[in-house]
Amino acid sequence: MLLQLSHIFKWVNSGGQRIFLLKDINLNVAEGEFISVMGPSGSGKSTLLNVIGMLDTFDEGTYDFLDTSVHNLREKHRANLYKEYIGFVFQSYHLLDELTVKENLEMPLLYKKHRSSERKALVADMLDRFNMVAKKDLFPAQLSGGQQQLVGVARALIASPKLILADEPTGNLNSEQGEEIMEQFKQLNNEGVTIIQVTHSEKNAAYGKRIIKLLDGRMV
Amino acid sequence: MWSNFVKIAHRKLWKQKGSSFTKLFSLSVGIVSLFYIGIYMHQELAFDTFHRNYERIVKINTSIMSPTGDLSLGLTAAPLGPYLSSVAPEVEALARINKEYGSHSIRKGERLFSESENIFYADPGFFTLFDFDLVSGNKNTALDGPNKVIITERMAQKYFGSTDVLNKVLYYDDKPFTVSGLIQKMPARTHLQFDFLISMATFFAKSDPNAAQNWTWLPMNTYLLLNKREQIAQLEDRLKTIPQYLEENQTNDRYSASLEPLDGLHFSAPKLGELGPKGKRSDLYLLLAIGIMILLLAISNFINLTTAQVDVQGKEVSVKKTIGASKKDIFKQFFAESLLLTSLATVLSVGGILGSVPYFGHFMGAEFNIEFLLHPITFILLPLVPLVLSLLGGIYPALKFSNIASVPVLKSKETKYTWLNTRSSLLVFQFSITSALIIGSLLILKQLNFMQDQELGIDMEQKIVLDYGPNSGIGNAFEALKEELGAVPGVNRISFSSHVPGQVPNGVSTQIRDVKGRTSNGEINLNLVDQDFIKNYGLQVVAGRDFRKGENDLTTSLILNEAAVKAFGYENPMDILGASFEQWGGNGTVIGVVKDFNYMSLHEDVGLLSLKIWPQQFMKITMQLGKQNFEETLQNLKSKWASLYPNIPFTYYFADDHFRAQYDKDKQFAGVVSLFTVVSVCMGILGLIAYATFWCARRRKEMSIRKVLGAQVPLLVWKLYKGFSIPVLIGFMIAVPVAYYLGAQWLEQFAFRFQIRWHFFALPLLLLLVFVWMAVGMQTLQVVQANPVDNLKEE
Repeated sequence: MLLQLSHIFKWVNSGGQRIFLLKDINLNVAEGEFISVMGPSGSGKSTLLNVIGMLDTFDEGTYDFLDTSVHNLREKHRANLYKEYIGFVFQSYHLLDELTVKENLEMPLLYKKHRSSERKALVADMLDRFNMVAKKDLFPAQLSGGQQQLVGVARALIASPKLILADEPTGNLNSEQGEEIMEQFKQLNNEGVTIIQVTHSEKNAAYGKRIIKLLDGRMV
Repeated sequence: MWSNFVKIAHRKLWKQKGSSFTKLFSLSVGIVSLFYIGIYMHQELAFDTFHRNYERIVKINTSIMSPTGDLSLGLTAAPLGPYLSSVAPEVEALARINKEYGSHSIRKGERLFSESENIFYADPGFFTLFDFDLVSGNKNTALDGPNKVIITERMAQKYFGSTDVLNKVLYYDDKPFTVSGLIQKMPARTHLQFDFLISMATFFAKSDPNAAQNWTWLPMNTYLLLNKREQIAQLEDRLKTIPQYLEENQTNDRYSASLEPLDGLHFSAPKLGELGPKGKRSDLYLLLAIGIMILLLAISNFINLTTAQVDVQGKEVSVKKTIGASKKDIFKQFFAESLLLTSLATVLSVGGILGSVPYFGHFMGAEFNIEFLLHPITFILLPLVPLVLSLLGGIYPALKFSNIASVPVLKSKETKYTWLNTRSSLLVFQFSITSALIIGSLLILKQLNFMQDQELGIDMEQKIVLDYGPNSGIGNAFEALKEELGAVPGVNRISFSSHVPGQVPNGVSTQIRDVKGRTSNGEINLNLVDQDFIKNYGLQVVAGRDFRKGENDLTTSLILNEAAVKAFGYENPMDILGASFEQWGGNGTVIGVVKDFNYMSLHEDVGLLSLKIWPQQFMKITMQLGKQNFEETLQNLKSKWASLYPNIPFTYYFADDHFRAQYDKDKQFAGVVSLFTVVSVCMGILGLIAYATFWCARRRKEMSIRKVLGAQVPLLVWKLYKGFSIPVLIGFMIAVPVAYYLGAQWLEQFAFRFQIRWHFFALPLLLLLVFVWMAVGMQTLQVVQANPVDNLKEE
């Protein structure tokens, strides 16, 4: 089992009322799964993804990731955990504008203190794999949205995570570009990477092997 | 990792050109300003300390207590020094210096010039106490006999056209002197500023035969070298036992001597007869305060602009955190950015300093010695500058940024950062500093204007002063000379005197019958003048009469000013007329009273003054020239003079320029303060512009929503202006009392000063607001006029 969420609650207090963002979420994810999370705006999709990605905390329940109890961890250890095993892909790419494609890819490795030669090799692999060798010295602003998202996916992958969390990865792309990204995901999944994506699109959700539907913070 | 930080940092700096430029500019200007202020302070505080034995050198002062007032002098009687060195074992060596009085003609062949203020007589011990090197000549013998003179290289060039001058002859007031030594120009940081150093034996040879043993005449600056500095107290005790100064041996005036260490001389209270310029600690502190303010401005600009980028940087931080950056990584990155920027600023400042030193020294009226910049220690200390600056300005933003959580910024742009309030506080702080500086420099400029516009009670228009120096021959024949010069067409009025306005005449002890009929003693400045002086300078006789030709007014008639009349207790000037007086050079009666006029700078009150006719003592001729053919008149005067006195140079100045020259130091100070004010205002404004850019970006959406809901453009502009004006106003309010207090303190040094009224503060406030509105105007207009659609689109 890769991760296990049980009875997860998350809420905010607003005007004396408790508003639940996540309500009694129970979810087991095995390695190699490809899950699509769907639901209307405000149903808690992104919150759930952030909780899984350990970027956000929750108020009640337990979360085990590879047999580690995330709910008992301090922030620093949590960070180490997701640094090691999780890669993120965002709707608006979130590449670092000041860095070239190559440098963007290198960034996670720097934070994980890889040696220089190792970094070079991994970056070269990744560039090769995504057919971006020619674009390695361009800055994000010089790329199309689809290309930027490809870099985003490559960056998420470079540190060989076990899990990729993608929050509407195709939301800002046209259908052709979106399809390309989804194909990449499918291929990655075939290679054994676990993927959880949030999406609005039925078509993209169909790439997943399992679909989870959320409504008002509950799984339905 | 670090190389990566630097890479990102430099790309970021480049991308945010405006903000980076502002930061760099502020920091560099801050460093350069502080450097100059620091080096100026250092040189002032280290005044006279370059002599090897400076800690063991003391100067003797004399104070005189007389029934009408006390007097402190930086001078002593001639025999005091030798007496002490014969009786006190603490004294290792002695040097006396007498500064020559008035102008003197110095000649070498055809080269004839008038010299004043730069001629000293000195004992042979001079070189034992003070470490000045001779370029040529022997220190041990250069001052050991009469008619020997040491001259500076500048004078060697002026009179000989070369520096090969040893044992050559120079005519001093037509007497031959041998050049016994050549010396470099005096460094700026000593109070001993001379061009001619004449042997003391020469002084005694020309003086009264009893001068060397006269205990009540005080011509000497006396310096002693002690065995140990700790012996000062011991020697002070010995000074109390000087037989001539014991109570039973003194009559009316009581003399006493005291010691002052050389290293404390520069900042002590001014005393009569002291040599060289005095330093003012208050000016120094004011400059230091300005320097620190500018540095704080630079740093707060830095903090403000860095944190203002939170919207852009916040996203970056969040992304980095999600891809694995730890808090420490983020902190390191922002600190590296600060370090890069401050290092760059340091390099720029060093360049700026090297390029500006010659001009700046001149501007601040100091001679900057920057040889120490080449010292290895500088290269070790230099990297500390960016480090310290980064610690001051970089830590806070770096900490704040590293604490940004990964999620909220990614999720929405509308997150509020509570610590943004820090920026408003910084803005208030910046504007209080800027306001204080603006108020301060306006105050100084206003006082300068006030002094120059003040009615002095003297007519100095179109007057030139010919300074011929002490020469009783000319004085005795002054009436004939007056006719000769008056015959030159264009010369309207002529008068002779020992001093002209702007010079403080010697104070002399004067006894006059006071209002109660007693004979009272007072120290009164004595200007020796001819019968036309009062008329020509437009002074007003308020009681009695002016000097008259034909009357036997010579030395027996005295005219006082109102201040002197009051000092002797008379309310009505008429009452003092006919009172008998006894004064240096004779006795007689008071014949007239003139209205007070400012013959000294307006730093001082109108001093007590007496006027008396005494032709032998005349040294200056004041001539009023017609406006027409001025140059021609001057030429004719010159040739006339040359035919009459070929050995006395025709050296002249304009009476009004000469008077105003007293304010040169004030003007210079005002210039320095104004410059730093302009610098700080520029920094403040630049900071504000850059800040406004970010601020407007934040409020773009709000403004668009308001517009969609129907707000009018002028209303929106006003709303934005208000946002910027409030910190300015608060800053100004904080600055006013501080500036008022400091300004009033500074004005204390002027006897004549303008009154600070409330409307004085209106101008700086208006200036400040105009600056601010101009700075933010463009950006606010852009924001307000933008199409709301562009700003309301969601991502």
